[in-house]
Amino acid sequence: MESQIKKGSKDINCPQCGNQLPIKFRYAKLTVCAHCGSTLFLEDQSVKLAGKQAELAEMPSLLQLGASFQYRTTSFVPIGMVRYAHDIGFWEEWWVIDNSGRGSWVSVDEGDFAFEKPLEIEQSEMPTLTNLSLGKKISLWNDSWQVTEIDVGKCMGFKGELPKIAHINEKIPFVHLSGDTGQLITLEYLKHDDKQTIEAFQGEWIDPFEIKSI
Amino acid sequence: MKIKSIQCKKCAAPLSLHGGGHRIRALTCEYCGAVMDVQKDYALLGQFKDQAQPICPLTLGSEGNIKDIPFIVIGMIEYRSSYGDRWTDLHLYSKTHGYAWLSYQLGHFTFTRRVRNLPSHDMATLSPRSTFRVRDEPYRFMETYQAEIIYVVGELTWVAKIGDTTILRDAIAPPYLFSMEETENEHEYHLTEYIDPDEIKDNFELSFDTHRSFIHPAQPFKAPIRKALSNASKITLALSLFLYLFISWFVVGHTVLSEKNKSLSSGMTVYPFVVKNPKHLMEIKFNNPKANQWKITEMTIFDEKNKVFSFGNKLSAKTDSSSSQTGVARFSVKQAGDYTLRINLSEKSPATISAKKQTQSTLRNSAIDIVIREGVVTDRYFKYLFFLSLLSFLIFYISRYYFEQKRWAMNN
Repeated sequence: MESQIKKGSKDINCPQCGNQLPIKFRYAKLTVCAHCGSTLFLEDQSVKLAGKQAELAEMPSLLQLGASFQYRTTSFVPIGMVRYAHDIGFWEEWWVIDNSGRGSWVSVDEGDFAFEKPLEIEQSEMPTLTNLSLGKKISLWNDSWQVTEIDVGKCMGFKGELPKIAHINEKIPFVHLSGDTGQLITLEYLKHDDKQTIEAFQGEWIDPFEIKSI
Repeated sequence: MKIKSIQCKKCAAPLSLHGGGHRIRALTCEYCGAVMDVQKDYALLGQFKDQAQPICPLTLGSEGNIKDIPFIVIGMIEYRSSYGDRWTDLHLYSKTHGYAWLSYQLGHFTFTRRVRNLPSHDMATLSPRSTFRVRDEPYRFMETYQAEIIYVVGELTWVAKIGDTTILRDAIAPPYLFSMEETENEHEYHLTEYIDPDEIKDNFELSFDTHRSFIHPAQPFKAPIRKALSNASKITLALSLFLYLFISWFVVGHTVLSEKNKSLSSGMTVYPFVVKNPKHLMEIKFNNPKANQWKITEMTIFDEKNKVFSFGNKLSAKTDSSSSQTGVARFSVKQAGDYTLRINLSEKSPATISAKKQTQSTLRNSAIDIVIREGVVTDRYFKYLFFLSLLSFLIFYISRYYFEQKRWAMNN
């Protein structure tokens, strides 16, 4: 089932229930209908219904969809969230956009908050997952980085708009690299059609007490 | 907050799980000290026997807001420093803000959370009072000490053992304290903020004595009354100084009598003068340079008929080392008109004058200076106000200086 995205506008109608969905992020690739819970893949000129997911359990969170907040001098609004599970719990990745429409990920794991922005990378320059081990120091972009976490996140669900396609139960191996001055790099090792793609994000840990609701 | 409970694997006592998140690694029984691995079905890891519970107003399960965020106490550790100080760290958990610590030491409370900001200098190389920066905020290095765990209960994110030690390096920027915790494997940085005990008392709905017997390293100097007084004094200080200088330089009055180098003669001397402006204060200034030979015994103001003012022995005068008699006096008259100043001069007895001086020819050539002005504004009240304002202004800074001296003396 498909419906056309209106030209010049990013508002769409849910192909399942007809509900109007205002798209806040122009490069959004996935959205969840707030009315019927259907997952919609947003393609160039069309909306593809990708089924319905079980509703995510509401968990206490400092960030809420649509609720603006300020971090230092910039205002953000969370427009999407993906929840991942690991061996002993879960964490959430919030897609937030600032006033100028630029997006960032805010990773939230039991009070550990990190702001990260997608990086444009050369796939060939990235270390392979098998070459990395906990504590190993590597050189990337002329800086020294230490591997501080290697784990696999399993997608438990999502809501709102996302800049990427996510699939329930998809397992994403990831690595955290920490710099000498508190910077953070996350490398995600994704597999599509037996082809591995690495996505990189760079950012920093932040103090949740600096996040103010507005 | 929903509370789950389990039975202690050692003593079977019912233990409440206060909602710590998925990072909780160990649970220590508050009754028998048994340590259980939370992530391995509460498998018994060991036991800390005969633990003495520290004195602390908060207990496991205490709930309250800190910085407007609801927290619950899920664990408790008592430390003893290499200097013998003891304090209790209460492990806190918030569903939105994660883990933090509330420390209690002899009436003081501090709130601590882990930060990833690195200091501008290696704290291990710093000497006391040297300055460095963390996220552009200046801190002063205070001390390095070793802390040993002497008591553990409740839920913790790692397996803490009695006798475990850690090296702590503290730097201060009250009400903040930045510390580096050094273990064998890692360096962790923490930001601590001093919390007023009354805030804890109110927010956790507790009742305890908030008396503090020493100055905590992160304790801010608080003297709101002295601070307000100091701020208010800036205005009066500037105003009084301005008025004092203005009056001294510009409001000197109008001279109604001026006698310079007036030759002295024994007995009463009369100086007439006219007062045109009786509403304001009048001032008389005199200088008797040979007071060791001539003494003014009485100075009286008369109107046309009667005595209106007599300075007599109350004359504000002093005799300085050069044996001159000088003075200033202020008085007022009721109406304009003709007045006279009568000065009674007496020659001192020869016995009081040295033989050498008696031979000097200056004895009879001495002179007196007298000036009377009307429309004088007294400046002494502004002088008093200036010094009072200066004292009020400085008292805050003096108190703060002594507070800081005590802070460093106690913690060095």
